[in-house]
Amino acid sequence: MLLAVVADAATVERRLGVMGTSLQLEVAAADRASALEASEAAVRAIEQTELRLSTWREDTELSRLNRAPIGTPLALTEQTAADLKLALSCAEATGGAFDPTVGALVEAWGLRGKGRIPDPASLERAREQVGHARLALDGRQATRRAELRVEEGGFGKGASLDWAATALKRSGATGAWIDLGGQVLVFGREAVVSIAHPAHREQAALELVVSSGSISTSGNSERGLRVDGQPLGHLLDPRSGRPAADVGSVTVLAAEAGWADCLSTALYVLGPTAALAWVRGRPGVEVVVLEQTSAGLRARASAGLRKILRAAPGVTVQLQFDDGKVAR
Amino acid sequence: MSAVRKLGALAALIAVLGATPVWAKVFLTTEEALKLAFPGCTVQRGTVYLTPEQLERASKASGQPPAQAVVNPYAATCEGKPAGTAYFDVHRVRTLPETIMVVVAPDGTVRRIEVLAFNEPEDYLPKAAWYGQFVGKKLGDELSLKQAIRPISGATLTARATTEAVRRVLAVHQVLATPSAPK
Repeated sequence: MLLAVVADAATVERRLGVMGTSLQLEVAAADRASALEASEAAVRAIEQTELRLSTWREDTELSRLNRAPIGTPLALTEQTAADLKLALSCAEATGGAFDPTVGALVEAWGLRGKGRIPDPASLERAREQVGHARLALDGRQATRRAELRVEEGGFGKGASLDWAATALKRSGATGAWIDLGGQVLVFGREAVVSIAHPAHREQAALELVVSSGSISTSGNSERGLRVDGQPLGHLLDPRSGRPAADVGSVTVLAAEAGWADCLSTALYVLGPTAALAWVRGRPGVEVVVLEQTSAGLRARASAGLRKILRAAPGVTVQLQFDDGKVAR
Repeated sequence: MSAVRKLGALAALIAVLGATPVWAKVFLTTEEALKLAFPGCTVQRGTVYLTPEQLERASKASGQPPAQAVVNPYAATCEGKPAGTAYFDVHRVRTLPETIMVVVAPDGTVRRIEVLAFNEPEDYLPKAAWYGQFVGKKLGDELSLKQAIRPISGATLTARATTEAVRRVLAVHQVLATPSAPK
């Protein structure tokens, strides 16, 4: 036998690439067979979400919605309706700093390719096609009230993780850690999640110790697009139609992965001060803004992270919590 | 448990682990990987001896030295329909091996890629996100580092070895799908 695994281990670790994505997961269950089964249930849930939401494919529900005649309702599956409902709620809650209908802007800036600077007329046309209020969702019926395109980029990964968590729990998993393209979801166990340096993704700058919830980071080092030698941010402000100002990175911890995903984008767009203000008074959502300043790395975090956020080993970061106290 | 039994258990564990270095990471057995990739399906293990002509074609298609002459494709059938073929590739990363499973869909694209075992230090193991780049791709010039496949700083050797492995698998699959050389 080429490979041997201790038969009664109850935690399974996997690294794989599947349809449209790739993931790393650790799943705990009563025995190895159950952990394996649960891990595969999570993988399949993620694949199914991709098949429903990806607008890189023509045959998904969101692609069909984007092609549906204006004013004509399209019946969605229960799952897709739930995903879209979360995305629209997030848009509403953030005053449009996150908007799932930014498809035209993404195309105008060439963000699915090498990037480009749109001419003013093209940009204006694209801006006119953005607006979550013009996408109606009534139960499972979705209706485009105007020309717009839904883009799953800011909520699809989170939705996938939430469905994976549901599948894991239904399959008897007692704990899990999933990393889906950088966004992490944890339940039933403690995990140390690294937050990358805003300018050097491969370097950990902070560590977050969590036992439940999802952690999503938005930052412009992720894609590193350059047009005419100049950096082009891939995080768009749906309100202006332009790339959001570079603020380093924004990491959100939330109970639901869908919310963590869309909020990391929205709070990045809002900027550090507004991001911290937005989180204040919203229990269950925490944020850390990591910036490279002339004095070094600075992290500004919501008060709820005080006990679980720390600098990564060997890294000097000025940690400042929203209650005004400073730690190093 | 008595001291003798404890020693016996320890000896048994050492015997199991003895085949691989102590830092080796074993994720799944081949049987587990197949069962997860093709749940509820029939999987037929084949043994194919490639002819010199097939080896040459595979080598030309993959752009690498000839593959092994003996190949074991695992062809899966789900509900009476072909569901794909799995191949296991063991290759050296730096000095130690990595084992991956590549599932090729009936249309010749990569459906799934999964790491089964990795013997190099974990620092050499790419993040999961890297493996997803292969999925949905066919054998072609773009299936190479710096083209469709992004290199990884810090894990260059693994990236190269894995990309070569996927090309090797797809080339063999292509050769097996077209038994005789096109005229």
